[in-house]
Amino acid sequence: MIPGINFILNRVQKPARYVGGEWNSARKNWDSVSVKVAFAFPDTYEVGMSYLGLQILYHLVNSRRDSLMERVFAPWIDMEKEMRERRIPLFSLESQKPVGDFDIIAFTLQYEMTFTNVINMLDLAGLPLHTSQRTGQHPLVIAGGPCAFNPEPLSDFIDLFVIGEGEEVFTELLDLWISLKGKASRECFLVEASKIQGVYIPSLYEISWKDGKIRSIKPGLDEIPETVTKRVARNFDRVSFPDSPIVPTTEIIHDRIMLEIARGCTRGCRFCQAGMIYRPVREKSPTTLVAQARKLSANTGYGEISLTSLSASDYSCITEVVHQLLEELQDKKTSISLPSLRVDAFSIELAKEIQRTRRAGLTFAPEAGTQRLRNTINKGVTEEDLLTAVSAAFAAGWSALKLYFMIGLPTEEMEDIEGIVRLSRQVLEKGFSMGVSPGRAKVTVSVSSFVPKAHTPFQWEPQAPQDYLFSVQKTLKKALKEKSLIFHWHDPRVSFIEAVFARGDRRLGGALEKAWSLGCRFDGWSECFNNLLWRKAFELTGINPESYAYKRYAYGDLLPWDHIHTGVSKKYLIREHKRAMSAEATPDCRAGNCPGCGLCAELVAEPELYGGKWIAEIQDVVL
Amino acid sequence: MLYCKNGPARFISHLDLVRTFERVIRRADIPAAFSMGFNPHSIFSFAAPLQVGIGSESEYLDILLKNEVPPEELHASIGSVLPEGLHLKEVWQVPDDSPALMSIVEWAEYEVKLELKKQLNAGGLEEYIDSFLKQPEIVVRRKAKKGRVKIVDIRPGIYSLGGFIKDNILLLRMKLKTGSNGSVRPGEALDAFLEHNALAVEPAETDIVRTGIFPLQHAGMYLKR
Repeated sequence: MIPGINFILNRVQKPARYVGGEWNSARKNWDSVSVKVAFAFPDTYEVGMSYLGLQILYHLVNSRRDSLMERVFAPWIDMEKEMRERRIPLFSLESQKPVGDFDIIAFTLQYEMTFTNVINMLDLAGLPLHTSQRTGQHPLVIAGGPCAFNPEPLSDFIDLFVIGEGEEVFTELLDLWISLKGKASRECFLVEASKIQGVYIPSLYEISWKDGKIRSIKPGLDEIPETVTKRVARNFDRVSFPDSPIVPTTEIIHDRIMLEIARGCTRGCRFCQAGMIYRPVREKSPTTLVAQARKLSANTGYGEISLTSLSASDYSCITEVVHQLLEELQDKKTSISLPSLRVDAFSIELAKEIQRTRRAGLTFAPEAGTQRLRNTINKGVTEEDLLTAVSAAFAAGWSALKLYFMIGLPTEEMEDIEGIVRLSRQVLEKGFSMGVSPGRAKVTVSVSSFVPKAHTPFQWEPQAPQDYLFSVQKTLKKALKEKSLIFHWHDPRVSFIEAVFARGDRRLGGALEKAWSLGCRFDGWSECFNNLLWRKAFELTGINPESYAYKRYAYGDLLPWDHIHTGVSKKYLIREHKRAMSAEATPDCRAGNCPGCGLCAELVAEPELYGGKWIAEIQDVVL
Repeated sequence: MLYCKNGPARFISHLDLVRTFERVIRRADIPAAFSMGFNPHSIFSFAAPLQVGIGSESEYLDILLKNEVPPEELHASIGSVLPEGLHLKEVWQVPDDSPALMSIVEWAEYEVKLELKKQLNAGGLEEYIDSFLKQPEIVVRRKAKKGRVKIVDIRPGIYSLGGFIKDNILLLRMKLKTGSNGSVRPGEALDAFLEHNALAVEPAETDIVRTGIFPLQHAGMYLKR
């Protein structure tokens, strides 16, 4: 036990964040395993424990007799202060061991605004921050998750990135670690690891510049692959799955069973990185899902099960699965929730069936205010779809709806902003006309700023200027001033920093480290975000952040993430970008027409839809 | 049932403990009675909430079941699905018409272990305790809603205070009023005692454990087997 730890825990908010001991958490013998991994989530316990990937890897590693995995989260500001004052190093929840005593520290990068927390955690662990300063005496610092698809801004700090799904590649990495343990140097291990598909070791690649542009990205040794292709878990129906996940004692954000019904989405929204990097679409069979739900319910004691995927109602036999689950879980008094519904009447029908109460509002994401702009972003939703869906929702008894829009999208005009206002009012009017009382009807309009992301058809596009985003917010705020309309917005200054790093390169490492040393932490939390410190960090390191966020790339430019392959071809992304500029929609490949993203050929993979079908019956497809 | 709350479980807040037992009951797969309505939940109640960070050797919980189950069976089912730090000591059946646990609790006993910065002898300790208890009133400030502060006299709620000293390690045993008609918190009683006698302690070494919860005399049968 760490001396005085209970005293500290009694002084900080939410001490349960730091103590472990939850049901199904692993307590493995430290001395009987060959490799010890600390899973590091660079945000709070409540956020990190809501992440299914943690549970998957935790289960995967702890199922092996030769390995253990323990967890560590970013300590909240108050805890960090106590730890620094008493020189308590960052420690794991399970055994309270210093994170520096582990063999591997594995970060997950879910969001750019957690990057300063990554650095802070390395510092709290007492480790040299830079990969170049670390030796065989130190743990190997690795990172994965969606932000690893543009790893460059963190390449100073991370030894090894895992690109794509971790189930297979993590196993291969642990095997390699064990086989080379005590026999090979750190450098030698890294070279060997770079030969595993999906592993990227930034220190082994050289980037040359010419006139401020990248001229080449090349490995320093012949034996290292020139490009790194992401990993995909194959035979998804049978993939290792945590049937005894950790059940936190303190409330977390998604405090329920997460049953992953499918991975990937080929709707092809052009702003959406998840839709591009998690292809192909793979579904689990209803038989597998029912069996997993039964085990999860018995092993966790949760009274709610959430069917997770990028778009739950796109699962090819969702109705069948929902019915089977309802029947299976009936006597357990367990409810089902669908967190990602599409804007269609079919989804409302489904929601109506499974939700016993109408208290939790329904969220719709039309994303843009006009049909032209929705075609541009390839959000296959028409105004009619939306109004039919909201009518169905009001008719089914919901009175509070939430609409989600983006501003600053490529080609956006004033008309599109007016469209947001018009659509929001129309939805509210619909509610009134269907007899929802003015006191109860509530439409929340949530507006975020578009952030161009690597590997999407909009990767070449600049972010809209902050002045513009602020003025649009002001316009919307004014126009949506009404009793039953609630307007929510995201801070464009945060979206700006996000945009800088989302399409950033290696030169940003210094600015990131400076921001951390000036005190930036938990930048995704509005109470912690400090724009002045960020501005100062860029200034002190001679970085012009505007030149990143507002940069328009040409198709022919070598992009900072071009050596990372998602399987989706650049040719396809260019074609999609061009179609966006002429407001042309592209249908989902599951409807039968392959738009040629190139993934199936490149990864020798294919969609795994239930029943071996290639073509799914998809609702509301725009053809 | 009677259980302990120690180790990592001492940091489970009362609200989270409700959530935790809800799940424990589901995992145990016992014939728990569920409430009616849209969001059915199992029906159980605690004797007295425990502050976060304080350990306990003696916590009571009653659970309503749909039908009779031998206590030994319940002990096995529930005892095997508790998170680390919650430990089941005893399970027994109480009559259907038993009063709510909360309503019969009168006082709780706490043991405090702390490290004094200066040595003290047994005689000195006795004098300190006497002098503390002789006060006609012991006023503490409590945080109330909306940032207000409430002034409370806790002297009537301190039923007894005893101690034992070895070198600079002090063990205190406090019996404090607890229950639906108001409680004295062990932390505030301890702080008042230390402050009254100007005793300095090593704050990191203080440990408080609840060792018992006791009922009003006539209701004693419900907290015993």
